[in-house]
Amino acid sequence: MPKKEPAAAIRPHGPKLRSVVPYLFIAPFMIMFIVFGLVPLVMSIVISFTKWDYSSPMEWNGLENYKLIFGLIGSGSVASDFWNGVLHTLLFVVIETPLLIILPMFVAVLISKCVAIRKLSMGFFYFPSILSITTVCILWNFLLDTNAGVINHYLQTEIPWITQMPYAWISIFLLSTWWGVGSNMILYVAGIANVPPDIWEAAELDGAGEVRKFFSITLPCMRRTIFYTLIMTTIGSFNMLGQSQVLTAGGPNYGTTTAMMVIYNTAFGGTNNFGRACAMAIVFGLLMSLFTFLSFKLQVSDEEDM
Amino acid sequence: MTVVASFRHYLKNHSKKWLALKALSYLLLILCALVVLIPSLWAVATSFKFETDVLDANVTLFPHRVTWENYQHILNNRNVPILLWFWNSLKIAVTHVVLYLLFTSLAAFAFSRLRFRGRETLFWISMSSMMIPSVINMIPNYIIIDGLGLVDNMFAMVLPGLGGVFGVFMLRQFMRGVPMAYDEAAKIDGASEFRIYFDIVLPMCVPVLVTLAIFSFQGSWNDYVWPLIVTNSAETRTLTAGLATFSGSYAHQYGKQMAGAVLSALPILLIFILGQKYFIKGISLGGLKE
Repeated sequence: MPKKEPAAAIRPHGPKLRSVVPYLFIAPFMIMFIVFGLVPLVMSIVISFTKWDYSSPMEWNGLENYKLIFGLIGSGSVASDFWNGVLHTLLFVVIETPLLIILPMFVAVLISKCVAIRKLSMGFFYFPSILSITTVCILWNFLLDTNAGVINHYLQTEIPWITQMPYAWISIFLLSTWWGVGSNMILYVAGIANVPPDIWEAAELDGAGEVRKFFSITLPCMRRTIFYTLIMTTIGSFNMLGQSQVLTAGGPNYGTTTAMMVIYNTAFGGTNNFGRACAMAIVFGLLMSLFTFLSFKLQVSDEEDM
Repeated sequence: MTVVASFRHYLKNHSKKWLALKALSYLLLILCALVVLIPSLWAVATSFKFETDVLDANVTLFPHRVTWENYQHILNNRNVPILLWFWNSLKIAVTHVVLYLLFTSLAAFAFSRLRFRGRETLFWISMSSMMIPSVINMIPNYIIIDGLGLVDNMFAMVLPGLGGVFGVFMLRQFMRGVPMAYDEAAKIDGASEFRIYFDIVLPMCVPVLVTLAIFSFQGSWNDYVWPLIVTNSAETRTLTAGLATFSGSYAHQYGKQMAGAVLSALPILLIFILGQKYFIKGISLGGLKE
């Protein structure tokens, strides 16, 4: 809380200037926030009630876009494409998020045990995360190639990793996990290092084993870190697009097309169907917020239990 | 001989079970690290191979014959200007980070230390927007950028992220922990608000600023979809967006594809190695902030 201000006489600015200064401080951020945060939000809502291809004039069409999305009118192909994408995104979120929480935790525990090579191994595991998603996709596109690929070579198989189900999804999970383990791992290593040492000593005196110590000390002490990574990883997974677009091109047979890809293609893939794309973005965005909100709730009720 | 002696001492001082556990941990960790490292090794090795050797049935990690041909080819191909894309990415990311840190810290300073009408209202309006997924703003943002005539301009990729409120939130939290006594002392000495911000409060926020810099740099660097939307010509793309169609233009020429992948990774790897200390420290701090 700000303390009492000193007497005006010793302030360098007169009273008039003083009242403007704080607004000057927040102005750059506020302008950006309004132009690229608030205005777009209102625009998105308005556009979602129109039929608009960006070049011809906007036409008001009420709830038509939403009805199309929910399959209430039309042939239902819009709805099936959209929900197909949403379903794939949810599949990705539900499988990838736990992978990117559990595996980094496992690695972080190992790293904390191996003090001698701690820094070096952190660098190794973090390295894939600094690569851009397209570089990662180019690399794995080679590794997963049916004939020339290293993975089939090692496994002595001829699996079409990218062009057949369920392998296309397995490939995406493999790539995303390789890419993402590092960043959560660093947070967990820091979290483990911050557990007060006297707790460990007390547990050791009580004769607690490694597994017991992990579940009774490490996990509870790191709840905030875990919650933070859970939210961030979930949001990141919801926005998944690069893997599907660069590695599998949404295939085979639209099997890996995500919601982001459907929205992107509706707005920028040839026919600029901005009205419909905005409605899709809003429906998908609300779904995402619901997910995030539920995680918050879960965390809060969890904390109340303590 | 002292090493051996101290090692003996080490063995004697711990139980067999403890030692076995330690050895197992190291073994597992090294194994995991290798699994993570192998894909990159293959990429580097393959980039030095002749295309015919890559497709050979008896493929081995290390090339039989080494060639620079793939790199020469990629660097001379005007359709994939990797170095230009890298320069674009760097320019955009650095500009974005500098402006982001400046704008958010200025706002956080006012929100945490200055008194003015509407302070709480403005702060909570901006904070509540954190719950709004960015996908909803994607299309209108394109319309705004196009309206400003910024398509194919680097500022199309610099500006929209500057409205992000996460930085303001983190910095405000941190600045609230800096005692107001500093400000009052400086005021008595006749310092202006800006001087207090720049000379006193900002230097104390360096750890958070580093963290935010890393996050916003990575966000800008790895942004895939936005640069694709706001650029039409190949020359204005970032590395992440530009490489999107790279595999397609070199179908099954894996030597060249890997040369491209290595070239795109090298500069950022260099930055990472040089700043590893700050990177890991900064990221760790990010997760601990509440």
